[in-house]
Amino acid sequence: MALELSGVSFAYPHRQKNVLDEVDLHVRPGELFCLLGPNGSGKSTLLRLAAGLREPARGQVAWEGEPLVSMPRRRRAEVLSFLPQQVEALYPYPVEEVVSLGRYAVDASLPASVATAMQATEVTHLAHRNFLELSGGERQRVLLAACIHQGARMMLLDEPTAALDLHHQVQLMRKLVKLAGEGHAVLCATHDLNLAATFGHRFAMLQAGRVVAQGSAAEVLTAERLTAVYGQGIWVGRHPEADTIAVLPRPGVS
Amino acid sequence: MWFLLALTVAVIAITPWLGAESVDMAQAWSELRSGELGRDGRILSLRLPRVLLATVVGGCLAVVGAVFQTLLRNALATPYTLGVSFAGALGAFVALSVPALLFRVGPVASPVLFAFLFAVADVFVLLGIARRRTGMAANELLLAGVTLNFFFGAAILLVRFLTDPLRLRAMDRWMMGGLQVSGWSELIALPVLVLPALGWIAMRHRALDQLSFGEEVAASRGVDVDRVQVGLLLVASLLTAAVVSITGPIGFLGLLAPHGARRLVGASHRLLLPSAFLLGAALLAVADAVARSLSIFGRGAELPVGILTALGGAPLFLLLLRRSRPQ
Repeated sequence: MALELSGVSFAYPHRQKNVLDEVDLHVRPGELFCLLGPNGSGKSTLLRLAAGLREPARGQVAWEGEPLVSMPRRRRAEVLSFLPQQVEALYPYPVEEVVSLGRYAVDASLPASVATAMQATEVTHLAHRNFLELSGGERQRVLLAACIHQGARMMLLDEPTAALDLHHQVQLMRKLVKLAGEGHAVLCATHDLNLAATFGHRFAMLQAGRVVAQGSAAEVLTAERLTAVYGQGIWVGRHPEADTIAVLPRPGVS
Repeated sequence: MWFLLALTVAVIAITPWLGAESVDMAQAWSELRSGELGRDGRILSLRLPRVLLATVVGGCLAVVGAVFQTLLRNALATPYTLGVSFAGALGAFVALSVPALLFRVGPVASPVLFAFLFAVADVFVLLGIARRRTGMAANELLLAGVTLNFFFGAAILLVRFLTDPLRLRAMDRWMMGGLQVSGWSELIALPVLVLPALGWIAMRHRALDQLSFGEEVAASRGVDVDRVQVGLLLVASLLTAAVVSITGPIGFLGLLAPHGARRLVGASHRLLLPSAFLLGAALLAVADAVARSLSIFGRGAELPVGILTALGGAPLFLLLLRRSRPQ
């Protein structure tokens, strides 16, 4: 088991209500684990705890049994990489340098390289462009390349497909599946239930800071569960060409 | 960057010969070499330390500006925006206005000490207000800096009000920012403070690059964000205090030089920090040469360089902003 959250609760300072409440979750090497749930359900906060950027009020977050709280920063950066939902850069770094900055603490002998990371997310042709002049989707792919270049064994991604067009959404999810196939553990928060269902291996559904379902797509993405979490008006069926679950809004149902 | 190095060397070589009083180069050199100073030699011996001071002060203010802009993730952050300059100025002002507070500790004069203490106090107040468990609240930090600027500005006026009127002219002149030094003795303490501080900042160029993309990204890649932020703020305050206590507040270099350097060498701090230093050094040395060349309005007095950098820097900065606007 790579990453394990056990009985994790968390509240932001000066707020009484827990953002996360008694969360148990584990992510294994070789799997793409999709974190689902409506806005404000605690997905981003959970990722920050999993990245060691916040400490849980109760419970424990551990990597291969070692609590993140006591793990040195540099070692943590060797095993966990994190891509937040929004990264606001102020100054004009070239794309190639943005990717190379992914590796700050990691041992230089690791066999990652800027070029392969850029190829992986199809940004090689942008290498000399100014990062500030890229579109939102291009920026996201560049930052993902930096994450790959970091060479960590687990990737924590907060809505990485949010700014991407359909082609790049699919390419990115395929890349995540490939990374998982190479032994990485990938924990990815997303609002896109269809992309998650098509590419994800396991799933957790968060609602108001609690994990209300965890397991395979068939166990988590049920009509009953989605209606309970998102409200009425959701149709859940099978993809006509692939053996995956499809989720659509029901027209006319509010 | 080599271009900037060549530019700065050229500026250091040329500007000592520029000023309201013309100097015969051959005569001045021969007088300096023989040690028997006539008119030309005396003028040159006064200008040389002044040019050196301008390069050090301009360079330091530029580096501090670059550091603040990255740490606070705000292109407008400078020692002035955060109140550090005026806090330092108040400290030095207090030491200058009370004769009993004028003393030396080794090579360090009391205005430097007072400027540093006040600048550090300013930084600690800022940290107390803007520091969060999750990192630095950049907007609150800037707002607090602006508020502290008003406070220190008023405190300077109060000290000025209470000071012996005979001392006021010299203090007002100092507040306008100037590089008038009467020799090398006033500069002895500067390298002791400035060189280690600049070296310490330069060694953190990789962490500064990471912080350019936000605290969370930097922390997730292994940067000890809290330690780097606090350390850099303190060292940058020390640098500001060291130069402000000698020259008085000199505006706009902390804004203009880092942005100009970014346009020339890019954003990477490995190149940006030395380039900003060189550009700031060259800009202030040229500004000072212009200031002392203007026998302004027939008053026989030099134009304070702080006024010139603000008058020249503001429109230049607006022009830069306009040209860098996305098309």
